[in-house]
Amino acid sequence: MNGERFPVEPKVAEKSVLIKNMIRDLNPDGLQEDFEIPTPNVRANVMNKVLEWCTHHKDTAFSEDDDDDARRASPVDEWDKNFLKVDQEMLYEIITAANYLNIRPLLDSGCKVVAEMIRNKSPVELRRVFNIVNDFTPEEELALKKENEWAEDR
Amino acid sequence: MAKTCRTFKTIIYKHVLYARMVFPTMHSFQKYTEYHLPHLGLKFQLTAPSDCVNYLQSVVLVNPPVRPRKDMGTNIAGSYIIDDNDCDIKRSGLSYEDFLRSFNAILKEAYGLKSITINEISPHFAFPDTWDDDKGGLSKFRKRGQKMKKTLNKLQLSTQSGWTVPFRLGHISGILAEYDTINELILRNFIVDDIKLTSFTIPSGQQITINKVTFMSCTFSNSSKNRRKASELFSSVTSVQLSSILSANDLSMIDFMKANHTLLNLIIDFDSPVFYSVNEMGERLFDFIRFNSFFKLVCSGQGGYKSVKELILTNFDLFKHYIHVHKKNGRSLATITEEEEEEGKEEEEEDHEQQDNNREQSPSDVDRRLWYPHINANYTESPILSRPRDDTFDALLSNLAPVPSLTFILKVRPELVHTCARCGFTKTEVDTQITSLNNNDWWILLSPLLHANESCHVKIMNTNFQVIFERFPNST
Repeated sequence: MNGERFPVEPKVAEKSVLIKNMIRDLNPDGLQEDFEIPTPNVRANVMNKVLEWCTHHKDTAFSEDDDDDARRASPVDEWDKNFLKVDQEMLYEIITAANYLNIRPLLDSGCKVVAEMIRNKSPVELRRVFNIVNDFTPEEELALKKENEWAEDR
Repeated sequence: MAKTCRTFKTIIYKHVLYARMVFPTMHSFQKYTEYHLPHLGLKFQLTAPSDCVNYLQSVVLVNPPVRPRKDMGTNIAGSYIIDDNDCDIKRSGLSYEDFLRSFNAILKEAYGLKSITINEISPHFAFPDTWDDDKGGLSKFRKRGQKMKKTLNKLQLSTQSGWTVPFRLGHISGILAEYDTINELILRNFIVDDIKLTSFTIPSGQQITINKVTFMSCTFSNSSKNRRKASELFSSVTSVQLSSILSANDLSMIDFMKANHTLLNLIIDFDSPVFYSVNEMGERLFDFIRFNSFFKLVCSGQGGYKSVKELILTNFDLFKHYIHVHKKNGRSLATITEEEEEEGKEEEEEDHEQQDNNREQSPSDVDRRLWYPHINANYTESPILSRPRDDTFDALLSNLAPVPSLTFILKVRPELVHTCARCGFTKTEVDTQITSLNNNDWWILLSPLLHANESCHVKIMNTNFQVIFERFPNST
């Protein structure tokens, strides 16, 4: 975290289940004074963005639905869409941070934004968008097309 | 993404595309087998199965084609002739023989396959009686002397919509040709005919092990007079689950299964229509009069039920029974006992009623007073509770007590939305009443059960299968 400090109110910090549990475990009687939580796996500029999301959603009651299908089907919140309009490197770091800090709604939104970047694109377009090097031979590419024909039918 | 580079290809093939395969049509199934399996792979000069077959963990097939028969045309009111098989082939391009070859090839080549689901099974569908051209008396479906040690975790079969099909060996013989052991067989919408199943014998030297059978919306046809005869097919079944039980006769499937003397676990769907009657108000009420004695017998540990060690009741929501009584009477049960014990407490009663009203506005709060009647047995003077003791929820709990292990899995209840008539403000009521009970509440609520048999291991699980209360044997 580059030694930077981000003072936030507990309600904001507790959007992260990891931090929420940490606070609860170490302060069973509730927070009496300032409490510092190190997050060594998250860079400062990424933490800043994550906290911006937590602050915006501090009063949002997210469904605690464990149903994967229901979570997948729900659309990305409009504010989240704009918030996640960042360069790809930052987007992946936000997703990684959300995963590490256990902020499932942010993780879901990030993954859905990436999924939207993939949807309806050809392999050539995907390589361009995600900077992927094509390491298939022409023969392999032909075989790939044939072996997945069944899937086009679904 | 799989087509972008080798790394993505491996990841996506292994974890997504080829791991759990659903073939909504026989056409897609045919295309898959044509490329990935050698028996049909001549088109692509394939001599060995493709690597993708090794990724296969589960497969779902829909409406497999039926064997062509001359007499198979379906006559509707004498006006139409619909040849199912011709329609199937025209639609899917896959004949019955091709389907069998493809399916067999999958069973043989996909060593990682752990789950098979066949949906929309038509009344005419069956695997052939003779399998692998073996005409020996051995099993009709397995090569003589063939030694196998393959286990399938789950086999699920569902009938075509609108049909209830008699379950027969032909529905699974094709799978038993490759697998010795099926951990769980799930049958949905089938007719389970005891005569058909008991007439089948497993030839000596062969072994079929089915560990658990789940009957979902199945109908039991117990035409045999000898109810104690076990089916060899189910001789090793230790666990039986009944879901969406439609009639009391279908409960006899337990008798049929327990005849093998190996039944240890019984799982019963408490939300099944059979257990409920509907009163004039349209309320769905559990039929204690009819089923308390049934559960008493099941948990008795006597006779055929001697082997039953565990009873799991799924979709259980009878704990709200006391709330129903409370609301129906218009007074809290606590109030009734207070009136009987001590007169002149009208003020307190009003307070309680006020508190009740408040509680309805804040449903997350648990009204613990509702559970009190368990302790104060005087409430039997109440008109609605003046039925004999063995027709009550308490009696049901007592009847369940003798079983060594008892688990309740609570029912998922729909969210209730309250809308303010004045401003339209809506508030969603999350069902936390039961799940937020503390240990003491559970002891009070379950007292007829917990005190009836201290050796009974009692567990309450919420809808996410998390344990919210547990009483170990002989603990206080």
